[in-house]
Amino acid sequence: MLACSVFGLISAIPLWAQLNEGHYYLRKIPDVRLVLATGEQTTLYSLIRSHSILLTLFSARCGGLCSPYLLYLKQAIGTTPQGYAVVALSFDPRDRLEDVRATAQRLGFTDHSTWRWGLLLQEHVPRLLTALGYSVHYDSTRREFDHSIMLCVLDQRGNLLRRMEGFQDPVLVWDLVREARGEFVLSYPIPGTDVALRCFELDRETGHWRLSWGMALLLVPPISSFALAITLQLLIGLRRRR
Amino acid sequence: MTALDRLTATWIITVSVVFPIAILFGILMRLNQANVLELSSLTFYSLMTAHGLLMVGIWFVMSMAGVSYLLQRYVNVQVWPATVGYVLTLVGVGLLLAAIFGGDLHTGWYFLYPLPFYARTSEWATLVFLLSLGSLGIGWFIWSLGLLVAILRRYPLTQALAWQHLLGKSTPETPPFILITTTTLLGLIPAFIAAVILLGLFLIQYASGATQDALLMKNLTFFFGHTLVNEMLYFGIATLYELFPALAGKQPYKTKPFVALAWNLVLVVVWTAYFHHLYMDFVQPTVVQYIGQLASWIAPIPAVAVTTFSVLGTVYRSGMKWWLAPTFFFAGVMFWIIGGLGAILDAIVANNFVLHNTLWVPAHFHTYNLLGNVLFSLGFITWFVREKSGDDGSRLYRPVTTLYLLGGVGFVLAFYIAGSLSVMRRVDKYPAFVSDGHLWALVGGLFALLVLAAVVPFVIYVLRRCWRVVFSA
Amino acid sequence: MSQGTILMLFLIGAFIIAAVFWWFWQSSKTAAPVSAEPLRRWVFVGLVGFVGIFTALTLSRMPYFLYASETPARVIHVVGRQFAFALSERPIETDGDYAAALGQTLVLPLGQVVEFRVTSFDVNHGFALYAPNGRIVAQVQAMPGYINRLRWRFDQPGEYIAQCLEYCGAAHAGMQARFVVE
Ligand code: HEM
Ligand SMILES: [Cu+2]
Repeated sequence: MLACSVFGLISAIPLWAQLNEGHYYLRKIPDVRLVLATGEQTTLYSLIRSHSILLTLFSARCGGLCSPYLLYLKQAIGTTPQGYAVVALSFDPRDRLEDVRATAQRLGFTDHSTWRWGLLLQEHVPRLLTALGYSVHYDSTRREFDHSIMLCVLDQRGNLLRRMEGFQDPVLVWDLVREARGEFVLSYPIPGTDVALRCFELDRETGHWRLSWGMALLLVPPISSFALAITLQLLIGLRRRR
Repeated sequence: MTALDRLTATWIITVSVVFPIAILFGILMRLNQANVLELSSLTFYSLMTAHGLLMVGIWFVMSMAGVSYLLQRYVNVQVWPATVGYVLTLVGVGLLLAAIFGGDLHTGWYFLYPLPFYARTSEWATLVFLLSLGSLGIGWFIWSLGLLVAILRRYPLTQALAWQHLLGKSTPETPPFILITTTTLLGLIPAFIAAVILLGLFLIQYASGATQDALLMKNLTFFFGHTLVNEMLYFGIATLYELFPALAGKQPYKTKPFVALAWNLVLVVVWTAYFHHLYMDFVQPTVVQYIGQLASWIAPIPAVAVTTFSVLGTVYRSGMKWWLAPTFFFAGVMFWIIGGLGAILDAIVANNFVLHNTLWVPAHFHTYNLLGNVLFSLGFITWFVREKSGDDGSRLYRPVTTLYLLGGVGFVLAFYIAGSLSVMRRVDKYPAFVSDGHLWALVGGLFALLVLAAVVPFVIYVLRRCWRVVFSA
Repeated sequence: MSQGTILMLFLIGAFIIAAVFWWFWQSSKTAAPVSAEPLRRWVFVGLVGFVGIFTALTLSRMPYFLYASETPARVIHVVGRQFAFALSERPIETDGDYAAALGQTLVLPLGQVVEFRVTSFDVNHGFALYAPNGRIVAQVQAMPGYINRLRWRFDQPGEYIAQCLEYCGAAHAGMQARFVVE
């Protein structure tokens, strides 16, 4: 009954608003209440007090993309965020705290201090989903949610800085991480463009761009010039000795 | 007359014929920008591409021809590498002009990737253009290698680089001419190698359609383009070191430790100075941008310092006779420094933020080309003509130097002023919001006419005398 | 430094250089034996000092990290393509996005930091911002395959023009976009 009213609200979000990131940039996100997997009652804003966060939402009983997506995030950025925090919250009204814990454990998060896992308080869910542009639709035949898979960056004042939907190149996930860390990344390659010799490559461990072989090609001309001069010198020397 | 005399005279003739034509292209561009002429965009950009490539090409080969000629004072110079260079240059320029005027090639002189694949150029023209660059590159590479081998036969590498002077020893002596020529050749060869890599990557895309990393291509482009233009200036300086003291009636210059240090520094730093072309590419690693600003300052300054010092010291109370050759050299050094000032102001990243790709850029490179490097070469040419014909062109002295310098100063000043008013470079019709552009284009064009008026009689004078050198018994 | 200051500095410097050369030229009309050798070292040291000081002064004013610690009020996506710029608050990823964004006139806030995320769909372009007084205030290159972020705070209201500043083909001169700051 409660669930139904929640979904009614959510589907009222106009479609165009759900589609683009730009519309949501820099919007203030409401301070919703939640329960952490540790049992601690808290609010979203107290989670962002010490760090900007990467926020993702899931449903523990989702048989679709939730688990693969969480796994994908874990593989992209690892389990121990530094300089930011990762918060994964269940929006599903049927989920209980045990379900959240079980999901975390299944993904290998035995220590809850690495990512923060939690359960949203139901009456606050619609406000949050609207603000994030997160679309949820209850499929009553499958008894499951059709929903967005999405990663957001919230800064310490509760502003939505970045938002990324779907499974993207891990490069882009790192871009969000850097935003969360407050680094200003002056420039970044657009992933997916297929080029022969890249100048930059993403270091999957640290998320930093590092120089790649393309740039090293620039060392070839000076080095070969010196090599050429020395070779000529040696050849001339040899000839003179003969 | 020796074979080298004839070849040198042939170079001079070729360059002298092309120079006024290329100037005319420049004037046409300026008058079009002033709305005095109505050229189509395609014509304008074809002229611009031809002008840039011809000017860079002729003054590069002329500075190198001067060095080749003077090198025979110290070492045994073989003529064949320079001859190969000449033939391949002609082939290259022929193909180039065909691509530009027959195939509408209009990519600008450094054809920044991936523009050649997007410009509306005939399909064959891009390929012919790449071939022509290949021909020029190979020709100049062989020629450079020939000179390097000639030097190394007489001076071992460390000695050619004057390292013994660097360490404070005064014997064996390395003349400054050998030192500068060696550092310049060693600096230049990587530019050719970069060009070969660049052409290879272009051809791969031409053949297979695989795209390249635009950042890598831009780095390679300016490694090649900037280094080539920079080094040709240093060839001019080498000529000056060799000829100027004698023209002032003084002893030849000696390689002091400072001089050795300056040119060894230049050798390495010059390869990183091109970074300033990518200041506004925020994707270039920022540390490279810092190095770029440092290198852009360090590359010219030691060379400028030692050269200015030597030249002014030579002139001071010398009682020398001023005729075409020494005047060209002296004025060339002065404008080289002035152009260098314009350049290092632009090489400050904070300034480049508002000057990049405005007319400030052609302003400073025309200063140290038209009024710097070209004058060094003209100094060599007039010296050569006097050596071979005994005529020092005294009737031309006043009108030619006055018109050339006056016209040149007015022409570049119009660029500087327009550049500081944010008028952009490489634009055929100025948009309404930079309406200042028209006036300064007209001013620049009119002053350039004065330059042309000086160059035409000068060229006739040179042609007649060099003709006799080529066809003498 | 503003463009006008740079021009003044240049003209003053050029004038000094020309005056020095003129003086030496005049001195050459008389002949007397002299040596300037001892001076050489000082000229060299002086120049190195000059370079050092100037570098220290200017390197701190790099445009790369302008407003890096602030949160921009607006984020504008910019895509260059022969021969127009598309500016939009939504990401421009497809030809459709590009076409939809063309011809819109954005209104950007005065006195607040705006971030431009600039790239190109074809060749290299230059994204230069011309203020209502016709002067460039900021610029960044638009390079295919990369996104460059330029942050700027507009403190002059009026119509701005984004002009292409990297030669990109025959119609390069007319490659522009307009936006309003108020
Ligand atoms: C009086 C003689 C000259 C005149 C009238 C002239 C004129 C011009 C003009 C109008 C432009 C186009 C500027 C723009 O971007 O709007 C230009 C570009 C250029 N000029 Fe000259 N110029 C002269 C001499 C020289 C010399 C001696 C050189 C020697 C290297 C030279 C090399 C170049 C180059 C490399 C370009 C750039 C072409 C490009 O952007 O692709 N010019 N010149
Ligand atoms: Cu463009």
